Amino acid sequence: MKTRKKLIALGLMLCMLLSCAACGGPSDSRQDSPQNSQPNTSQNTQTPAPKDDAPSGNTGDLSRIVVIAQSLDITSLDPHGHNDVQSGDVTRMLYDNLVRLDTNNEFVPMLAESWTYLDANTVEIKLKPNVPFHDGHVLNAEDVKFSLEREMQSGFSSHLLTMITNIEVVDDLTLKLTVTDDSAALMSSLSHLCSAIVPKEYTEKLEAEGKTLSEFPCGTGPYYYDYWRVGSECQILRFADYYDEDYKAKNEGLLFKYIAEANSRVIALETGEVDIVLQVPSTSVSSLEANSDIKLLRYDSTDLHYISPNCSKAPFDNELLRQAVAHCIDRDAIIQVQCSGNAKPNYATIGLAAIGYSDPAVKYEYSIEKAKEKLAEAGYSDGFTFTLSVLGENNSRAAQVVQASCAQAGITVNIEILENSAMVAKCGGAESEAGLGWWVANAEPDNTYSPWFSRSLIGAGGYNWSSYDSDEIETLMAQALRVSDPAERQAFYSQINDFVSEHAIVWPLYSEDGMVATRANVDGIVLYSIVAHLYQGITIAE
Amino acid sequence: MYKYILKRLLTLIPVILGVILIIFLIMDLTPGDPARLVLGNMASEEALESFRQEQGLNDPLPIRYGRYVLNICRGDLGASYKTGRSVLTELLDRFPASMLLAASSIMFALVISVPLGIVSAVKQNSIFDNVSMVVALLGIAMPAFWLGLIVIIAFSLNLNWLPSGGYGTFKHLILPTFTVGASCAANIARITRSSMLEIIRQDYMRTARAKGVSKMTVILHHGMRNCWIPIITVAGLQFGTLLGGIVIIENVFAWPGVGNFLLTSITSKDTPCVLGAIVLFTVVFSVVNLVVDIIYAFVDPRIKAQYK
Repeated sequence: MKTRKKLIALGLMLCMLLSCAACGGPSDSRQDSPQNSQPNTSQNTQTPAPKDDAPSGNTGDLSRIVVIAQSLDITSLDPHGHNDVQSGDVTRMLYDNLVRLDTNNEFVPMLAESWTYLDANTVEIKLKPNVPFHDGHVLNAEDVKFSLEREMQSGFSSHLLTMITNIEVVDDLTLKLTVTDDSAALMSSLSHLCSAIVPKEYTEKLEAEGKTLSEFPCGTGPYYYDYWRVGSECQILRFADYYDEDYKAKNEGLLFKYIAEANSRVIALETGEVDIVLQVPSTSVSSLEANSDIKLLRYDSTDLHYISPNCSKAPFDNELLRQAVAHCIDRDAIIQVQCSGNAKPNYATIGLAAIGYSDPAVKYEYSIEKAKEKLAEAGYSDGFTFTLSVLGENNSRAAQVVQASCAQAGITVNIEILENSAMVAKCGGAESEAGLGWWVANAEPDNTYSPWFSRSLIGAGGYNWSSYDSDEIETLMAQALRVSDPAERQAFYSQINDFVSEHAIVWPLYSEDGMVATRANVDGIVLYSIVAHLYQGITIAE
Repeated sequence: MYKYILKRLLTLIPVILGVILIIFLIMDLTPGDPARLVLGNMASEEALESFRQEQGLNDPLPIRYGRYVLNICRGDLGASYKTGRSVLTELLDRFPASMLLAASSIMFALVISVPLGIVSAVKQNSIFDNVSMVVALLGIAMPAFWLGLIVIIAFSLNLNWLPSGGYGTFKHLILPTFTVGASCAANIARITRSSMLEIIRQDYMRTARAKGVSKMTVILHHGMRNCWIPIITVAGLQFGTLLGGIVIIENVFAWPGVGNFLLTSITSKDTPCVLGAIVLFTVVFSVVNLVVDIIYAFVDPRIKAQYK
């Protein structure tokens, strides 16, 4: 009898535990914005509350909150504390930059009113007046100086501003930047999500108190921070005092939900639990297109899937063998098998929609006969064997198509699937024979070409997987950084592209179509090739 | 009894030290530079080197191991390479979700499976027995992610009764609990049935019936008391495993638990997070096993006597 009572007591305890956990739920783990409980003062270092009619915390009408599903979790809300797309989706809405890239791939003013080259090495930047941060503080030149210097100290972003040697505050709204001769990337760097402007006093005070900007973000962006439930979701709300009427939020707020599983993201969209899915799996495209409640939006992406042969050792130190394999690449078949047709063939070393892209002069079209000729020319009529390292299981189908095509030419391909850290260590360490990976270019072509081809990065464990040592590429990359005229820069990058293609230093495969799926009543999302979409214009029809 | 509990808790110390050493060795031997993975594609060599210095990655393994053990003694699990947040905070943010799902799943499993197993045993070889054991076999054989997607399609997409994923309300808990609980229930039902079948043939059961005690009382009172030990063992082991996180279920249902956190930490070589999560799992698993052993003592006085 005693034992039975104890068992009943134990059962009741378990029930209680379960109930407590269920009731405790989300508020236990979320990093609440203090505006839910704290009055706003510009002096305190709590996350600022809006000064006006914006809803207080989570208590307002949330019917117009736009729910966006992401495939990866946010890592930081400090713009200088990350360099990833999913965190960038949120921080881009919380903070502003001096300049931004428009949809025509041109840099236009954001917080900067204008910029002028006083001479080759001095840039004067005038700031817009009366731009409020979310804590009520008004933007000044000290904030910009502080932000850029903070960015230069950050491991995530220090490489972006290496061209700036000095920042001088002239007056409240004017700065002078001293730059090096190779400063062509200045504007693209200033538009990068890591170059966001943060309030100096607020951030310093926060850090002095042992808190972080990631926990209590404050910017000048169209939204202010509401809460972040780590590993689950993050909500930001409309900032009604936003300075730019054209870019003011047209919805009440944005809720970013982390849903790792691709099918679950799609189902959440179909059920209406989310309004937008940012990463649409190619296998779901046909079912989404057939659904009248869903809109599938496509855009040309800067993404490139490619294979880099290791040119520093056998067998691919032999250019003829590289050309032979290049002729074995059936891009159309790869696109069908890997992406269900949702991609475009690419022969260049950068994504189709990227700044710096050009159609290369020499292309190695798919031809088994030509591959055999190249093999014979190289003295390998009987073929040869190489190992293709593949980044992640997701890319294995493309590798299998290459393997099958190569087999027809007598080339044996062994496929090894590696996860990211092992892949970067092996291919970046120049230990692989060939590596299949993918890359998304940003607004600055040098941020693709330099990591891929810089001599200093050969075998350094980074992304120079082809390990091709070339004076010509080095010179062209350096020249491209010394000219600011976009057409002149493009000419240098075209030459690099032609050179890489001719010598088969990289075997480009395809650029996957950018796809975003929304509910049919969602409108106003602005899609960018560099995956820096804008969400403040989104409206949801009743 | 208390002496026994203390002894068991003390044995945790060498276990944790051993686990930390193994994880250190594994993380060290697997290829990949954490600095490169954390700072991204384009980080400069200077930034990478500065990161390695800052995190002590250039120090030899014994020094890093010693430093970590000393810190853990002070309750400091370190900070995530990737987010800079305290590992303890990262774990505490996610562990309640894992705890909730594990507890609800195991309770669901017990409520379903124990009666099912008993009835199957009592009505051995009946249609009920055969059908329920086939269902149990299916429960074990079905991949959890597949079952998860099926229930989402049925109850979220088609019927629109329940949310397809997320965390926060009781409704969010139902589908993941069912998916995880189904596989646990299948295991427990089978073990309940086989234990009960064995017990039902014992002499004391026959004697009790001969003395005129009703069949129901014999099974529930005499039978179940002897049946609980294997059930508690299996349920305890499954509960411990579930607390360690169910990566696939967490992914399918967007459940913010520890399993997915551990997986992403491993792929980004975020060693402090991996170590913190594994230490947490080790402690939780050991504590759950200890609790199971204590429950044995309450269920079976013969075992309690051995603890003295």
